[in-house]
Amino acid sequence: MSINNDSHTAFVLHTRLYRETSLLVDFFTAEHGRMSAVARGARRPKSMQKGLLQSFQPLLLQVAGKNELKTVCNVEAQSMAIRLTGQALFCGMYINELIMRLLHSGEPLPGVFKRYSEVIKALSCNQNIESTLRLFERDLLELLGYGLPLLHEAYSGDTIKADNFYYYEVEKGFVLQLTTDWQRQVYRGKSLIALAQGELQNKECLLDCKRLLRYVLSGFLGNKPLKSRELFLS
Amino acid sequence: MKILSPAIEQLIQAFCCLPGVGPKSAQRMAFHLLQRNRDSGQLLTKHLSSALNNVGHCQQCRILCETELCPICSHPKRNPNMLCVVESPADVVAIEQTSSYFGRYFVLMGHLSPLDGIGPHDLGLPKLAQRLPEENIEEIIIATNPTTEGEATAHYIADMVKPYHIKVSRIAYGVPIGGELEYIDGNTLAHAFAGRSDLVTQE
Repeated sequence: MSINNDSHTAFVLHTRLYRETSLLVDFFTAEHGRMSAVARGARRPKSMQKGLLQSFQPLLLQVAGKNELKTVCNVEAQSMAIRLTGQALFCGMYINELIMRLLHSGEPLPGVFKRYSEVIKALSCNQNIESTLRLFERDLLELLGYGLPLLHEAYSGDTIKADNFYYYEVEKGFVLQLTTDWQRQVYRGKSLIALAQGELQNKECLLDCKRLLRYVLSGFLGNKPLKSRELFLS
Repeated sequence: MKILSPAIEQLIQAFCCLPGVGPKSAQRMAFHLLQRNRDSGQLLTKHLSSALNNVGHCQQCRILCETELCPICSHPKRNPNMLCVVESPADVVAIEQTSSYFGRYFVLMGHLSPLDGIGPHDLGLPKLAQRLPEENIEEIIIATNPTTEGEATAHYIADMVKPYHIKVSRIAYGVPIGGELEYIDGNTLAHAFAGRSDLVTQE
């Protein structure tokens, strides 16, 4: 077994019980992206790892192993856990689910990791949760190489105008709505501009962007919907 | 060539379904029952099949039991106005052993965990919601585990209870008895400080 002494900065995305006293942990690391590892003995009564291997706890992680499934050698807290409560906690779980579903194991995406840490910290302040989430979704798509062309019309290349309505065509972009076919999901030009500029204060724009990003993300998630959305229904 | 006959092999394999039992321990159990303790084996068969056939969930609190209502829910002296929400039947046993709680329970049989595909419906939360207006509950104590999922479950229940104006409390976090502050992890200590209680009340 090769032991690598490098410490990775990491967050726990998800843990599952494994055998009698161990945990199977999905980490999100800055250097190696998503990584699965076994934390041996983490569920023993006197294990110190139990408290650390929780979501939203910034960690310094050392792992060993050559295969895809590593073994946790050492885990330490990098700083205090980021405390999420109420709605923010549900949002944090939603983000974890998005990361688990959209990122492949072992794909290094330091940009996503940086945005992830930022967004978790922002959620802990419990302000502007909706816009924080939308901007994270926008950036996540961008960083994964599926960025939305929010500034230009798909066919003509004209700049998006605030007063027009646009609909989204997969792999093309936003198309100006000319007909009166209101069956189609359309979005206000000003919402697209607001999303591009990252200034989502207006309630109308927020709703538009929520609808849009939900639609775009559903294309990547396949026919299995995100379970964490159920938490928000009440 | 197989050394053991099929009946014994099957028995060994069946024992492997128990937690913490691998092929070696399973083989030991099988041989023990067959060589030395056939009567206990018969008894085990009888109780196992009767439990598997009869045990279901309590209609009120979802704990495992074979009657419609579990002994706690049907006990006349248990306070019906207090409800303690826990994750598993083992938690009920742990709380009962402290003899410090005399209300009733609601057992979720898990916690909210979207990544495992467990949502509010899998935990019987609609059933809890249905009980709220029907019964005269004065306080709900949420005793889910202090993990991320346990916290999320607690918040979800708290949101659900809000419209009914029932007192909702969460069990405290803190320093274990006989523990030393020096060796306690920072997060627990921070929680213990945040949830400190008054020693002297000023009049």
